[in-house]
Amino acid sequence: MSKVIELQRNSCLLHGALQTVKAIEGAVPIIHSTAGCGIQQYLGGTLLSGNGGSGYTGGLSISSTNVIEKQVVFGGTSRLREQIKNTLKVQAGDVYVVLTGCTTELVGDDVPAMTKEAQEQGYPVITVSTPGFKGKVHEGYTVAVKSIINQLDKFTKVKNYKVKGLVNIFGIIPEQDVFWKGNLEEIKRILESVGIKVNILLGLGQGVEQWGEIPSAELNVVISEWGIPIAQLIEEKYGVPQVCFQNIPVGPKETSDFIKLIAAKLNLEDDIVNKFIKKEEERLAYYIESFLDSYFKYNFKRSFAIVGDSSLALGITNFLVNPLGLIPEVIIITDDIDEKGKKFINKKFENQNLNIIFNEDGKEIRDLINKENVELILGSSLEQEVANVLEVPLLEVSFPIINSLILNKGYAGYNGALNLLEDLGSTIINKIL
Amino acid sequence: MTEHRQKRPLIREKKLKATNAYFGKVTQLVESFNSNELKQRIRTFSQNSVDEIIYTLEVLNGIENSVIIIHGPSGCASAQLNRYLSKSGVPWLVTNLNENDSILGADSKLKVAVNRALAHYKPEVIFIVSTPVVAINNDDIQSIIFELEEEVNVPLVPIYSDGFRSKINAYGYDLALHSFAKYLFPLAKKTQKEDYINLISVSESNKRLKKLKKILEDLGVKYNVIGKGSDINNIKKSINALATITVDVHEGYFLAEVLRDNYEVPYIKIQTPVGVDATSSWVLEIAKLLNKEDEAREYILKKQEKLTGLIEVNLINDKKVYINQDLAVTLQLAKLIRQLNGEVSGVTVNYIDNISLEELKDFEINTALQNIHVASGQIFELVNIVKKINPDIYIGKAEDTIWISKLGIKCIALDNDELYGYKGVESIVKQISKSLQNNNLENYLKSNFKLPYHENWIEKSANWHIKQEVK
Repeated sequence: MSKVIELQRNSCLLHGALQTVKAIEGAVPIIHSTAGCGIQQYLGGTLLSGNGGSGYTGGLSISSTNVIEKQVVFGGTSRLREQIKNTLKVQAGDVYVVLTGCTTELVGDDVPAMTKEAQEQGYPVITVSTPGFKGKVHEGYTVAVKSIINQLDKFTKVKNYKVKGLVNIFGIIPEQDVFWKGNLEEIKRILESVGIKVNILLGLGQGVEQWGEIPSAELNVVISEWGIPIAQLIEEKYGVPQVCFQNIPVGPKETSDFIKLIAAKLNLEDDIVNKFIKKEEERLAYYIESFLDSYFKYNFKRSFAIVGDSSLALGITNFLVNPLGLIPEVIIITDDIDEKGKKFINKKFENQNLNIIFNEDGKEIRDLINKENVELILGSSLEQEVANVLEVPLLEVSFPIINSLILNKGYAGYNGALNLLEDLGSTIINKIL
Repeated sequence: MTEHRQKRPLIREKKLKATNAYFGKVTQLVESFNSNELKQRIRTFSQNSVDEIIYTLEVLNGIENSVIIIHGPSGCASAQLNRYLSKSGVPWLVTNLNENDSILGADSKLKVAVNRALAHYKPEVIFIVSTPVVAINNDDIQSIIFELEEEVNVPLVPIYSDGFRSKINAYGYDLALHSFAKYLFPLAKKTQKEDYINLISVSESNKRLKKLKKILEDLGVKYNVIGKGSDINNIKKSINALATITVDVHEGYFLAEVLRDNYEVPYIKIQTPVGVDATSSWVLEIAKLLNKEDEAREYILKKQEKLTGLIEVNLINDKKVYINQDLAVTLQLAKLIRQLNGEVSGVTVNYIDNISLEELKDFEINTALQNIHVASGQIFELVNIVKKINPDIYIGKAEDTIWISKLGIKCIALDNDELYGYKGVESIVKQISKSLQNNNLENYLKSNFKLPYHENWIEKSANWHIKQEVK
């Protein structure tokens, strides 16, 4: 059921797929659509993701068929054939991923036929069907990852033998999670520290080789709703089991639980795991101790509203509540997770008396927060206005974020908790001084 | 001329012989325009670029007390989110069309959107922006508007931006301005000529526009701006102005011509005020309209004197400069560079049309420049061209500068520069000076980064993928 939305923050399925493909090293997206689709993602996605950059292959540099009226009336398959052929010649890459937009899907271009042609000539070209009208940005990630996994053999060596202690991470959506690079980096760090080999599959050093290793993992780790169908597919296709943590772990308690859960599934020695957890918890405690003066002086124990996608919003909420002692008044979840997911979330938090609302409408979100008597808001740049009206500090934790430059900062794990404390602290203090 | 009463304006390819795909001799281009034989060209390899929808939104976001409804799937509204958060945008709704709507039609959603817009913002005007899905499905926006108009007191203005009708993205400007003429001019009352001149500004930011307004204020010229920070009243009263000028003729010409041809408001074409001469000419031409020539000359003299004192002589002597900006700005900057004794070694403009024929001829005569590159984006061509030319300085925008800087070439991006007027000259020169002083970043980038293109491509001729369109 899709509604009219005011002050919308969630873009379309094509954009989610594009964001995903761009994050794979060596992947070259080829957009088969009108000229503006990629730029809409750059302006309304990348630039608003903590002032993200074009990187190696994004921004104005994305291969695109730029279909015009002629292709709408007579079909665009020959234009696509030409574009694929020439992209192979102009742009270096390990896999070329054709993404279809609304226009070409409505017109009914036979895109798979074009990619099949290229494959038969020995080129690593694959297709994902991604018209914007088929869903939102989050689903674009799920659709893209599933489709790429289904076509691994078309562009890379598929490793089918099992590798002990190797895990894949699913559920963090590039650019939609503004802190995706930092979050993935921290998750990789903490799991590697206890002897686990981690493929985060997106970002620095993660290319077609890592994707080829997906079936050889011992376990798939899912940290948001959007990773579940992916883990499901891999389990059916390659027998790799999954474990769902359901949200990004933030802070000592959840992060330690996260590591223990995965370590248990992998039958790791308790010793190493406990040693690492103890060290990290002690390190975190050391810094939390330094921040106590500010905590009490600037009144950190506040009632708060938080707005964002389920994975990070719930993760942050858990940390703020325990051990930081803050009081959640309303949690507004902005990704369109299905009924099963909503049920799970409501159940997981049912004995905590949290007010959880599912909404992505910017105006309705503003009105909801306005009604509450909160002393702090965590949300996106779209929540700045209501924060001004209520005269409370706003910490930006979710998409879109235009007021910060974010490179590798994350809010996940132990390091993420420290980053969160620093940012939260600075925001609160600056509002008071 | 009844073009403005049609559903949409003529596309620029037809109306102005515009093209966005060319790399070759300037002389040849000028000749094709002269002989009216400019062939349309297409690309056999292309990269994504700004489209008419994004440019339509640029215009609409200048109108305060309005609401924009984007009638399409959620992705078409992404750029609008950027505008709004950059504090240069108005509130908006998106009808969020999904697969079902695509099959069954989305009229009810449009009605819901209009009613919400009215209830929440009490706007003076509501703009309804069409998108490819709506265009292909042939949704009938007009009849919804007829239905709603009986109940609402606010003009509902449709813009039929389909996203694929024209290769020239500036057509988006025409679409928006056309809607002003078609739907908002008729709401105004034609009276006797007033004493203000219209200033049509399209892509200029609020900040830059303010500077231009200040120049007019210093001259004692009354103005009526259609651009950032204007509203429906500015649009309406434009039909009674003394004259119309546009900051950039390529952007605002459509409305200026409607005013000239239907409302007896003369259209005074003057150069975009970038660079010393163009700024002085701008000031003088406007002053002439109001018999303030003497004041203007005094003003110009004063400003130019101050400027000469600030510009370091010999800074750009014999330096090779590549310029990539919007058409009017590029041509003016080229003049400025030559004035400062620099050499214009290459230019890229986003499109070319027959409005710029005179400027182009002028350009041809006054530069030693052989080739001109016409493209919106198309970084692959840009990198190919600029690498071969190897200029001392590249002047572009952030979105293209990031790529050229990786070649190790000293780069300047003008996104947040003053650009216009005498202050603009001062600021651009300062940027050039800093760039020549410290280019450590570009050196670092050259050693650490590759561009995503095959070496093979860089060796080919830049117009390899530009072909004449076969009808």
